[in-house]
Amino acid sequence: MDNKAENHSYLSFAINEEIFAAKVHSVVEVLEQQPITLIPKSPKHIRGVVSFRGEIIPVIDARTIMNIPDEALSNFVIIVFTVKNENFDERHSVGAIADHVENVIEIKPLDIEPATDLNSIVDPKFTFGVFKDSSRFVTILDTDKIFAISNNKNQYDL
Amino acid sequence: MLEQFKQKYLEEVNDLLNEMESALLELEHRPDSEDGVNKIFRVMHTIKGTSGMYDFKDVEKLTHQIENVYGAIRDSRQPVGKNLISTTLEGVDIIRQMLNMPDNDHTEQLNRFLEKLAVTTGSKEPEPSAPAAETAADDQEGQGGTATYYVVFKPDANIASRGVNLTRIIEDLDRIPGVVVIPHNYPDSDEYASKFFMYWEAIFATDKPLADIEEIFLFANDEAQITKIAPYDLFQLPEFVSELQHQQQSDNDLNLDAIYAIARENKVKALETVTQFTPEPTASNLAKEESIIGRNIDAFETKNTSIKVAADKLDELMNLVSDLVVTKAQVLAIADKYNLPELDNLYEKIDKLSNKFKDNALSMRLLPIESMMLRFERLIRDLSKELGKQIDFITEGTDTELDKTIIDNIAVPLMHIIRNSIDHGIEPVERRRQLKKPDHGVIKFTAFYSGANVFIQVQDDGAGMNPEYLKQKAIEKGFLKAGQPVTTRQLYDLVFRPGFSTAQTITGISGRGVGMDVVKQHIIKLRGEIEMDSEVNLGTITTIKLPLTLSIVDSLLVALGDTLLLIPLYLVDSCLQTSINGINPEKRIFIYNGDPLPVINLRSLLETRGEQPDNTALIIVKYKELRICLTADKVIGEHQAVLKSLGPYFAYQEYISGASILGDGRIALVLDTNKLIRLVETNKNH
Repeated sequence: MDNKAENHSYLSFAINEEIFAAKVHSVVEVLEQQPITLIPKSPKHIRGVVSFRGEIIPVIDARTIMNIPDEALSNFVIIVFTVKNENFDERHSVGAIADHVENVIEIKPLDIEPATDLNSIVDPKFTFGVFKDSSRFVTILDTDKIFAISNNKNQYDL
Repeated sequence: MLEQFKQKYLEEVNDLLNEMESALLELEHRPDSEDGVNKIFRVMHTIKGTSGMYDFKDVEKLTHQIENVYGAIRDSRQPVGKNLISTTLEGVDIIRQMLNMPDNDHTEQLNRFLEKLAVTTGSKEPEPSAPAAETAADDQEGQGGTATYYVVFKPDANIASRGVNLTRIIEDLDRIPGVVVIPHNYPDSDEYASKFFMYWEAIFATDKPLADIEEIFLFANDEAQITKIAPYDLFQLPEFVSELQHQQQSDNDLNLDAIYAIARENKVKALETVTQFTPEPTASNLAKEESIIGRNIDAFETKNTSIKVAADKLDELMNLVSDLVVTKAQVLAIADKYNLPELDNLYEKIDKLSNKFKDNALSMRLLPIESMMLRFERLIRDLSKELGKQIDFITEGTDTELDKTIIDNIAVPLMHIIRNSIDHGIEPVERRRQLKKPDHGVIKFTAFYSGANVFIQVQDDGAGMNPEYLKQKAIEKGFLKAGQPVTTRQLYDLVFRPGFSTAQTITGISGRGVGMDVVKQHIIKLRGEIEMDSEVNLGTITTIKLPLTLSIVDSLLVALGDTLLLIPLYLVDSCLQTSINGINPEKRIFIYNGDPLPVINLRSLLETRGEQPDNTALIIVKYKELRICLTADKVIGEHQAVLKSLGPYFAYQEYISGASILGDGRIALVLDTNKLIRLVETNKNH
């Protein structure tokens, strides 16, 4: 695969009917809806764990981190991201809850506008910017930041 | 790519330094050992060569000087002085520091060491004497040092992608004068898929040192096997040359047995030939040559019994085995669901095979305890010298094997225990004489298997711990109330409590580093136990009990609402059903066989949702004398749990230490029983 083309490819998906996108190469797999095993005494944004390729991975509800409404979902998918974490050199897999996956879109770097509190529904520090796709805004998420373990800590302390 | 080579270099140097350290310790007992001197010389020479390549200039300089010193010793056949051994050991430590902290400036350290080395060897001007020593060394190696070597080189399929120049290796090999190189193709079979499609055999006689030959395979040394087949030039023998020519005509690998037979038959004759070139043949030389031949033949026959494997490959194998155990359980679930007797039979076969596979894979991760003994020997040597004590270190059962992870994590606590024995256990000589004990103290290290556990004991014949003294200290520090009844066992266990510094209590010498409470934490993390026993003036014995492996645990599966929990089976004493009303709600005590046991309600501990069922399962967990009663909704059965980590996201978890995937794909959580035990222990003591 051409490396350059890959760098401009994003997977778009919906959370709370808002459209988000993440770099395709950070996505490992999209899992069908399945039971999530609860872990006792977990912070609110950690929904539990699922088994993925013989390992046990956390399932995270990004809505809590992004501070957007988090009503219970009847239908969802789990997007498995590979995340580089601040505390470790190694990457690890994290599952994220989404309503559904849309498609892979090409976004040229020049078409990405910086996120501000006005054009983005989430804190700009979690994004790479915003892309205007004909009629709608697509928020491009920085998955390494949004799934950072330090978020974990803050949420738990609250 | 370079980083990768550098990593390999660092690993190799580390192995070499370990080898050298043990040679030095050996030399201390037998200062005239030529093998020892040779080994040190060779190690320094090898490290010097590669260090230059990776720009470790300081290491290069340091090793060069030590090499010179030992080269000179070898030539003059002088015994090695004690001071020199100490200085050299220091040098080894400095090399380690230089490699571990390449960014620091070690110049001053280097110069100080070189100065010290010069003083130790009595040469004020080490530099000018250096070249002379080196030439002498090279001459020595050259004289009558011709030997016949056999090399088989079987590169891996990925050799080119690792950046190794295969052509260069073969060309270098070809350049050895008189070499016979025989290329082979592998037969067409999947068996060799991981290998390059060709392999080579080579046989040659050379007077170059082994290190020079090894250098040809610098980045492929796992793939090349070099064997010295005779300590002289076999090509001088017509029988050998004709046998070799004859064998070359077939496509088969060289028949080494036939070659050895020739070597053996002509041993005496060949030695005569050799002796013609040796100026002063002596009987001892002859005997030595003979034993070398014998040893080499034996060595060849028993060689190839072990190979070096990267640790992460083994980890991956363990993961695969874990997955297999999970899949196996899934097969059983299907067999049960559809009631298929044929599948049941098949399952039993798979079960047996996978169990064998599991045991096999586990055993590959096992390392002999021997692999950490060097550190202890060094510690005892250095520390006893520093403290002016004489200590003999006796080991037993060091071939006992433990999981690599356990070995990696047990060395530090063991160092601490041994250090305690040297520092606080073994008395100074004067005191020992007063007590009519031998001058030499003894520290005995024993390891042995017992069931699914390994026991490690460290015993010293020192002062021991005085229970009365411990009691007094415990009362002073508020761990005990005056007049409170206490057993000797409980007093010894106090040693492991944080804040109870035995160091000052017993000998008045200040303790070093971590305390015994930290040691205990380490052991508990490895799911082990630790205990101390002592007798005043007879000594102290510390016993550590460890599991053989950390990755698979037989567990009891219990349900708690929707949550499935695993409790290690070795801790479970018994299970029973009772009404929740049978438990005294205020005191949270359950009377079991007449004993009141503390109760932990897992539902409230883990904040489980839903109603507490009236009929509850009680699981009695036993840890030493401590028994705890856990309540859960129901007991489901036994499960062979392949432990998986929950990962960094759950680092905050208090009572869950991991998870395991069940046969039906559900995930069960592993209860951290150690935490519970500590919780109860703390409550009890307050």
